[in-house]
Amino acid sequence: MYRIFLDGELLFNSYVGQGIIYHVESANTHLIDAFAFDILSIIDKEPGIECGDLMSKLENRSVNEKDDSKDYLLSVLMALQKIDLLKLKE
Amino acid sequence: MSIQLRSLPREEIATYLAANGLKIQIGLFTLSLRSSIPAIVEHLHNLYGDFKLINDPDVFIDWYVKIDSPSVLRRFIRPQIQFSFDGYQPFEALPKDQACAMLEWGLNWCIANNSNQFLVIHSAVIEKNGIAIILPGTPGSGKSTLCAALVLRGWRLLSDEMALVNVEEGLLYPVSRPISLKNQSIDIIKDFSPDANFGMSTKDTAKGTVAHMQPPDSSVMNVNIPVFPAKVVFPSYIKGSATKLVPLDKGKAFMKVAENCFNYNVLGRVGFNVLTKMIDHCDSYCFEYQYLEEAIHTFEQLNND
Repeated sequence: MYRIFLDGELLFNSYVGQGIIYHVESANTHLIDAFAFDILSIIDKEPGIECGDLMSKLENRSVNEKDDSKDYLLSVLMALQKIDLLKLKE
Repeated sequence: MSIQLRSLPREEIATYLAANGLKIQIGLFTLSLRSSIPAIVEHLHNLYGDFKLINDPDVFIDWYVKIDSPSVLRRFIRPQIQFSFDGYQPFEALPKDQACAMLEWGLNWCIANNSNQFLVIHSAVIEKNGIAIILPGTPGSGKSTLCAALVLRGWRLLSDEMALVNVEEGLLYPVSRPISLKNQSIDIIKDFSPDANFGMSTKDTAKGTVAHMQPPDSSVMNVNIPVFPAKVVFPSYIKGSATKLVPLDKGKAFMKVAENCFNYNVLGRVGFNVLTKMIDHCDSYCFEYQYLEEAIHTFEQLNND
């Protein structure tokens, strides 16, 4: 089971359908879609959240068909990990 | 009481430049300039006439700048000039006939590298009726040409090169200086407004032919009046393009402005917060144009929205 943490301090600003994330340590800025933004916002509030709990918190949001699949969530988590915005720990 | 540079004859300007320095107020900044180059005297006399001189010896000087030959030898053999800031030379020496262009580029460098009380955006800034529009753009985007045309039609010039957004209030502070035009833009603006006053053209610079246009006197007089940014417009001069103003979503606008900042990363979280506030309060657009008259019409409409 994976626990998910932000990889450093992030600053958030949301716009319609997208959001801006600022990674304080690297000074990198990212434009991400609303789904990824919501994921990071949840992890920010609940560091160490498990993947299953994250999935259930995302259930109520307005999603397209692929958003609610676990595979899609994992692919987004991996993408966010790749750009150093979060880290997964077993 | 401060006097304007125009009140000094050329000989007196040259004397100040050659001695302890000519002290000029440029927006919020104070400049002490030394030079023995006659072209610099002419450049100042022609384009900086409306700028205020600093008489008070106790005023803090932000930039001590010298523009002169790097060595005695280089005064005579393939003459060169060197820009110095507080004794530091940030650029390679250039041929002497590029002295005026080098002065302007050097002053841009002074602002971009020494102004972390502002978020500094590579952009032109103009204002009319309290509506300030930021025009970010890389070289060649047509921002300076568009900016020159707009100020020749009554818009206030805040800058043709850098938007200075105060990190505390989010206000734009003017730094009205001569507008730098390159290559075909020079003739375009001369045709557009034959009354526009230009300094000498400098050929064969790294940017091609460069000439500077005098800023409107009203813009220089009102240089102490800051204004909140209202709109961000990303201009693109595209030959053959119809005039087109397309709204840009805030996320993309944020990223595009961040890419055009000189010190966004240096400011860290402060930069993020300032830019967030600015983008939240501004409408943003992409703008394509070929013809200046149509472009100005679009900006007048935007100003009245």
